Amino acid sequence: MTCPDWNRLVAERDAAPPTDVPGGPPTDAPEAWDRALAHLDGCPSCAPRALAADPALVFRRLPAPEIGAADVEAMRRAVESMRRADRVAHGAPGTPAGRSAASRLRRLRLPAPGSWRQIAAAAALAAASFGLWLSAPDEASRTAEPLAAVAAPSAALVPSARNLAAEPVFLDLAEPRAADVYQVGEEDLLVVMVMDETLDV
Amino acid sequence: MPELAYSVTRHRAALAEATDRDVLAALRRGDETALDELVRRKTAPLLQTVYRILGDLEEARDVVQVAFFRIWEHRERFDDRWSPNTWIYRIASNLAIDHLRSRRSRERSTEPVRRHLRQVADVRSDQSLADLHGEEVMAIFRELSAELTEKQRLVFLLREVEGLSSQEVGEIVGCRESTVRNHLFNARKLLRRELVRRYPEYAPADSRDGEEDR
Repeated sequence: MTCPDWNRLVAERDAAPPTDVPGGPPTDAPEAWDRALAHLDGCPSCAPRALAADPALVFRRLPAPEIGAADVEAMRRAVESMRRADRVAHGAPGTPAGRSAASRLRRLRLPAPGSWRQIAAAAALAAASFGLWLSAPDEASRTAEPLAAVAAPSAALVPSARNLAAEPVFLDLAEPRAADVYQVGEEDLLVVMVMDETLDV
Repeated sequence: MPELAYSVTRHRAALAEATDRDVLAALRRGDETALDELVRRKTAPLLQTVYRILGDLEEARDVVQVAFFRIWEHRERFDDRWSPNTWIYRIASNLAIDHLRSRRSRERSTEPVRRHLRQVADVRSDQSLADLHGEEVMAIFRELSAELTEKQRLVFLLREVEGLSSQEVGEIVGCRESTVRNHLFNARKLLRRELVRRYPEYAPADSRDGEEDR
């Protein structure tokens, strides 16, 4: 496209009626206007003539901040914090926040509340924790902390009916970011494992 | 061998491939990963638009953050017949306009800002409009656009700077296309007049004459 006659284009644009006229142009500028603007963006030599015709065209060069991955992640965390604060403030059962917690659990496809499966899974995990504790080589390693670290998430992620009703604290404190949920076993003994390396437990 | 029953990682990867409409559909179902995906997609364009409306990046961040929160809160109100982008921009634009109003009520007098801008302009009086840096353009726009109504400013930015169609702008701003055209017409006229009046050194001679005649 050759450089347009900016004075003529601006005159035509400004002469177009700004309000609806039956049978009038469907846009607010001549068709050539949008093409000329696209040309202007890639033609530095056009800029002085275009700005002479319409100085307000300078505002097409309003800067846009450069947004990187760190900005996006910061925004995600900020939004999550707002939602968490809102849940704390309005977290009563039956409110949207309460539904949110429930939907989060459904998304992870954990056993339904009261299911015998979750009881079996919780029992299996508790037994595994106890086994770890028993197999510890010395008394010093049999402290309560490692046990709590293993047992606390398992109890919360495979919640009992009571935990569900009270909204699990663990999920509220640490939204799983990269959780993989595995199932081991059959109907008589089902173990659910949630693995998320981003959770520091 | 354990059977993989569900994977947040895989779910996230699937959402990354989905359309905006599908992401909003997942959001309506309460899928929080969909909100993450929406934040990933829309943070940059929303921040850029809101920054241009407000002229302040930190304020723009705050507004966009609240916009995402509102989108989550009102997710069930999204109608499949609407354009996802229009709905999202409408929420963010309304918040930006509200913020602009509250800021204007806080800053009744802009004289100190104007004095500073005049000094900046004086130092750079040897420049032409085409030579202005982005931040100078932003400073001048922030000053001149104080003369526009909030809707005129929003319409001018969305149509003239962001390049959206009049129909899209109408849906975002919540008015008819003819009203969009009116706002745009008046915004252009006001900005051109004020630019020539306050910064005559940047206005070409024929433009100065033209504005004086109008």
